[in-house]
Amino acid sequence: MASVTFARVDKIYPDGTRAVSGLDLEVSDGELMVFVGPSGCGKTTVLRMVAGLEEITSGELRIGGQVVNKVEPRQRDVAMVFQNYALYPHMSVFDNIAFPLAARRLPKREIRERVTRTAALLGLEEHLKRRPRNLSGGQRQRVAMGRAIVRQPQVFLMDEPLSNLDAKLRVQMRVEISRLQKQLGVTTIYVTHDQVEAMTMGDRIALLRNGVLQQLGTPQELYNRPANLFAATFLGSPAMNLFQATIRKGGDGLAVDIGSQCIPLPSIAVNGHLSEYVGRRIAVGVRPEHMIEPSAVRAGHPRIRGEVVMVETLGSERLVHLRVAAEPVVTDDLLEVARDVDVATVEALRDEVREGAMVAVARFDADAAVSAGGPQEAAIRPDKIHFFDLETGMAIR
Amino acid sequence: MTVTTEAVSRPPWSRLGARTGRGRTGGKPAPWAWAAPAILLLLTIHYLAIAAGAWYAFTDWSGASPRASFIGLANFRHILQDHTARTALTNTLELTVCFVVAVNVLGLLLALGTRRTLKTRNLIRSLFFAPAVLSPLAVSYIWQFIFDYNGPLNFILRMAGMGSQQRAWLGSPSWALWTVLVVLVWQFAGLAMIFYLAGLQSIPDELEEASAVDGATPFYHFRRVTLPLLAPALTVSFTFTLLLGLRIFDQIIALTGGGPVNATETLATQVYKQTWVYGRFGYGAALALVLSLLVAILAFAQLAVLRLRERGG
Repeated sequence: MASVTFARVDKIYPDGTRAVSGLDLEVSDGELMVFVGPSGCGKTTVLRMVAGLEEITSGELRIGGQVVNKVEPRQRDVAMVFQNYALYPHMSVFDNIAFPLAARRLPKREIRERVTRTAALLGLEEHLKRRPRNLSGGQRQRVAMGRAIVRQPQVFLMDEPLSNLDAKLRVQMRVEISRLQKQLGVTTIYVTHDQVEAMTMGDRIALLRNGVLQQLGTPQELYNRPANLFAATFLGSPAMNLFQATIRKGGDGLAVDIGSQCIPLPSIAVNGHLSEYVGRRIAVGVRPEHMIEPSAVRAGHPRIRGEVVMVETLGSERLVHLRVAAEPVVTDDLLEVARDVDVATVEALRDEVREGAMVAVARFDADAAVSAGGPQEAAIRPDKIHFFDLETGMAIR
Repeated sequence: MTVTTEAVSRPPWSRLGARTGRGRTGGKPAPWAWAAPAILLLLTIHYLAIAAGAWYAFTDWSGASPRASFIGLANFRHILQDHTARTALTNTLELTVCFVVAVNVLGLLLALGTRRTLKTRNLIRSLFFAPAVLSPLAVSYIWQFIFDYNGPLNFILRMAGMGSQQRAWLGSPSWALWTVLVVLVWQFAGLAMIFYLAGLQSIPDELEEASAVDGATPFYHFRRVTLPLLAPALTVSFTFTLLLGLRIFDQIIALTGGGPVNATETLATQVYKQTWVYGRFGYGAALALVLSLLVAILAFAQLAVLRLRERGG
């Protein structure tokens, strides 16, 4: 096993496209690091650079302390699981798994033993004679995993390996990959655009945007303390509610003006640098689960008013869509995240700007008495309010 | 008024299928009923003509005389005793085997060399493929000039200090067949290249990347991944070039006329000469029949072997 170190790594394609800029991070020995970000953020390029399938323009890439910038893929001792599995269609499952060992000319007996052991680990014993085309998506995925595992490489590289599976199988395989990775203890770099995969699988997450690392940390760190607007909106479903607000002095402390509503901030909500923003426009972020039914909290919690436009009943909870007379936050970061979702999301964001009102999502109890069409207040957990500099997009802390 | 769509969708002769009760699918017209007119036309025009031609192989018809007497297998016995015919058969097989191997190896190398994303790859591919669409006669006359004793090839050899290697390439009995082979390979390597390019394009690049990460050398990848996945292209190219090789005629007639001393005589040239030059239509038809059987046997045998390989047997 080995650590993987990126030291100011850049990747610029011949046409001038900058795919990765100044990437500086270390994936520790045995760690599962998830690279996540929207389409085109450079996460797959990072993975391919580790595999040796893309040249590094500048900087240094080290595997197990050894600089591998100019080392051929076959000499890097890494194994990769491709998005489309890249199984050899003319070979049986046995031969697919055995391929990396046969390429290294290991004795046939050893190959047989290792393939059999790997197949048992993945529950593929019954399918060893079958061809990939005769396997289900999940089985193919397991064969691809087997081909990576059998060689006992220093590093596993996984390029969106679950993206071709249906939702149910994806959950199952997510657990299986995590279990295997922990069992084998192999350093793993996992690329995905699915935030759920990133949150549930990663020991740490590296969030990328336009080839630049936005935030690096544990899933909880990224979720609870987003470094900027991009991180705040990329992780979390439904996404964090972001209101444009003006910060001002009010009563004993600070307050924010969101539209026509003045919301006093309890001291627990105020951090060191927030007072420097008095009189300025900022972005106030609240996750849906921190906008709750007023009756569920004691008096004194900040509240926000709106008109209920829709209620989604999910069984365990109700998502209340509140139309709040407040300007939404629209920055390049947010538009990019919206674009990654779909065109309709971008249009909805633009409509909100035109109308000067935005829809915030609050998470109420399942038995909360709320219906569409009426006015409604939502209480905000004061210790869970996020503040962002509107100009830089960075969190105010 | 009731309109039946059945009358529109059924050909009138589909009743034939209905009467036998075979080939019917839920009351719909038998599929073969639609194909019957074309099949009948093909049988009449094509295979009837071939059968008629085959019948002359058992006669002594001269081609000019109104009479053709049935002589049984005499023409075939004569082929076995005819030194020229046996030479032609040997030449045909030698030329075909060498042609198929050389043209496919070269075609595959060209395809591998031009599949990469070179900016000029389309131009290069066109240049290599161009000879295949040229007239065989035009190609032959150009090469006849190149191979002439006073032609460019010997001139280059002289300039390179290899004057002792000069020869009448097409006039030497020991060199003529191989010289013809060079022309054939030059003309058709580009065609094989196209078959292999099509095959290579159906192999995902991801497999090459996967095998590189898996530790395979380029040669190992080629042997274990590319070549097996090219099996369908190999089948098409080998079969096509085999048929081409066995029936090569134009280039030989234009380059050597079958000479010198029958050195480049093939079954195809012999069929032509015996039939049209010597007026032995029956004997020529017998040679044509032998050639056709040879083509059929070799093509089917090769196809069977290659198909077996495709299925990984």
